[in-house]
Amino acid sequence: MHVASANRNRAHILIRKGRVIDPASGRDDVADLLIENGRLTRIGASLDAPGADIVEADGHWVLPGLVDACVHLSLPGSGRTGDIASETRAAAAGGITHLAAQPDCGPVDSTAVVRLIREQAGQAGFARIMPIAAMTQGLLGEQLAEMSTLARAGCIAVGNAGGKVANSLVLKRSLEYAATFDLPVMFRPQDSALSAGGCAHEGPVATRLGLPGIPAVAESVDLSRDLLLVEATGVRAHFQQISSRDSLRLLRAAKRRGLPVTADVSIQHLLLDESALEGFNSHCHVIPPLRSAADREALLEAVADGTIDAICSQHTPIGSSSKAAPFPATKPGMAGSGCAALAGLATGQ
Amino acid sequence: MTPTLAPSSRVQLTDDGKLRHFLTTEHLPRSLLEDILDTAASFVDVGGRAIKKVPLLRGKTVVNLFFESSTRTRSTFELAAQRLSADVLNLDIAKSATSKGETLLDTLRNLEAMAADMFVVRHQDSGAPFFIANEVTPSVAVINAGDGRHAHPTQAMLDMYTIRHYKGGFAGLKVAIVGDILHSRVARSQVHALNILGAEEVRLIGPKTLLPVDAEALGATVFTDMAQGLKDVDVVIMLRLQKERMDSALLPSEGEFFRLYGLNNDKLHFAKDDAIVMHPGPINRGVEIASEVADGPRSVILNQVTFGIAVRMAVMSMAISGQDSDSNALAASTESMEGAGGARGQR
Repeated sequence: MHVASANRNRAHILIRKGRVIDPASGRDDVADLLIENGRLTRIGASLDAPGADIVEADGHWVLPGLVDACVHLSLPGSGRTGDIASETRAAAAGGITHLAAQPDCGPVDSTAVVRLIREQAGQAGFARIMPIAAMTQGLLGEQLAEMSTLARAGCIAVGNAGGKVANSLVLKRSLEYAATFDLPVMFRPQDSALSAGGCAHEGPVATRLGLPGIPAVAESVDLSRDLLLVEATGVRAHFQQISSRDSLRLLRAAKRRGLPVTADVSIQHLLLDESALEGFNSHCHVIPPLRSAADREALLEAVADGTIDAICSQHTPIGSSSKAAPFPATKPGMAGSGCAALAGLATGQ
Repeated sequence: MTPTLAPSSRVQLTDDGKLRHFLTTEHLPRSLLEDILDTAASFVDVGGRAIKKVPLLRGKTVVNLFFESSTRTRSTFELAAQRLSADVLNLDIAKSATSKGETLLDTLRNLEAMAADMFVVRHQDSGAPFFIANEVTPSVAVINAGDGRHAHPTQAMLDMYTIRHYKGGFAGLKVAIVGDILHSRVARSQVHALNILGAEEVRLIGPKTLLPVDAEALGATVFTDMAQGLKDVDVVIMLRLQKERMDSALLPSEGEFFRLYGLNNDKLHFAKDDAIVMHPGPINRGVEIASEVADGPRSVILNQVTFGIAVRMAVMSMAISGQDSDSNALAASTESMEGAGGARGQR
């Protein structure tokens, strides 16, 4: 409360000579921006604002607040590494003002948990959290969660956060129920049997390092079933953390057929490939695994041609002790939504 | 061959190219592998003496750190260390500290506090000895005694010793490795060592369920048929087949595996007449190898065990001497810096 009122009363701000990029209006040029009473009031060349604080942005980008479509929070679960205040502060430092949070902290299957998350984010005041609700109770993949109630509490979508859904029948019914309320469903396709025990992309690097592999088909097999069920139920679907070339082929075909699907990729998969694992670098232990150079190329192309609609950080709050072990025993994930989103933009440019 | 060192070499070698850890055979220079074999040759006789000891590791403490149980490999390391006059501590971690919740890092710190000079590590996770080598005090040498599916470099080197002993060298040799390549750390280390030492061709033979994806990337040609794969080879290395493979839908039965890939005299005919047969042990008679071959004139399986002690003595003594020269160099450079500027504080 105090912070908000202080914002309202603070001096006007003039941001000068930055490269103003606004995809919504198609703007991309060097301009000045005037912010009055916490609101953007004017954009133009050589604005004059007597008494305003001047920010010289020559050589910098000026962007609208970014939305990160995939972060993992550690509250209200264990709360051992980072909390909502620290996570949202890190995001804001990277220009991210909205975070879509995975339902695997908790899990997010009751209004109490949703309220707790939103309250803590509101108190911290750095960025807004848009929770994704659990699609099944306890993310166990067996019984439907109260999707409608969770949406009313503020969840923007439902998903199972990579948790296994018991069978195709439960999945189909979950999608039908979500479609009843026009709730988008977030998928993280990965066949649990094909990926069991794996910690690296099944390819030459994993073969040499002797790391148990997760084949690319673990993703595309699951994705193809999901797409058929999306088509059958008419639900809006968003596919997260796409990592392989075959998946992109399936997504392209689905979009061509007019299915209501979108997809994102995590920044790690655009910047790195399996070779980053050399020397057993456990910081690059992520799920889905970093794939081949050819997969990475295909992902970059897919971002450029619109098959991939968004780049996300897949930020996972992870303490250094979780990485201090032999590679297969480390916790998968990478921290760093701070710089990730901007790196992603740079890749896209 | 890139001018920058592979990550594994940066960890394993001192700045002037001496061995300080032995974690994998991959990317090591040929001269170093030949050094290991030559040094081992000088130790083979020690086993035949009345007093089977040399004083190279006197006053040093070797800790056998086995996170995965093993009697055979641990015993040969223990014997090798004793013949070098080291004090040996055997820790069967599979049954102790880490099962009480202590992290690997905490276990290491505790052992360092006992002033160990060398860790011989076996671990179920690929890369564990790399992690340990990166974490321990710089003066402690780490020897990989087998990590996950990744590497078993001392086994590979004793196999190289055996091949050189019977074949005189590696030039022009065709070597076939047969069986469960997918799960085999031995096979991976052998392929690298054979390529570095100049073998003409390394072949991997097995059904597709037991061949890793992109097996060619290891530096080998891949066969699924024994008649083609064994044709004209000089060395046949059979791998042990774990019984669990039948439970995870990798193979239908031991019987079918033996019929297709088990080495009997009929299949051995495809190889050269003077081909030798090796096996890292322990062997499964009637599963991957027939008794007629295991006990036959071409088998050198028991000689491998004898050479194993000498090779492990060689690796241990070279790593300790690499560590000692490294810490001497470090001490010398510290002294010269202190002499020049006197800026470095006492530690």
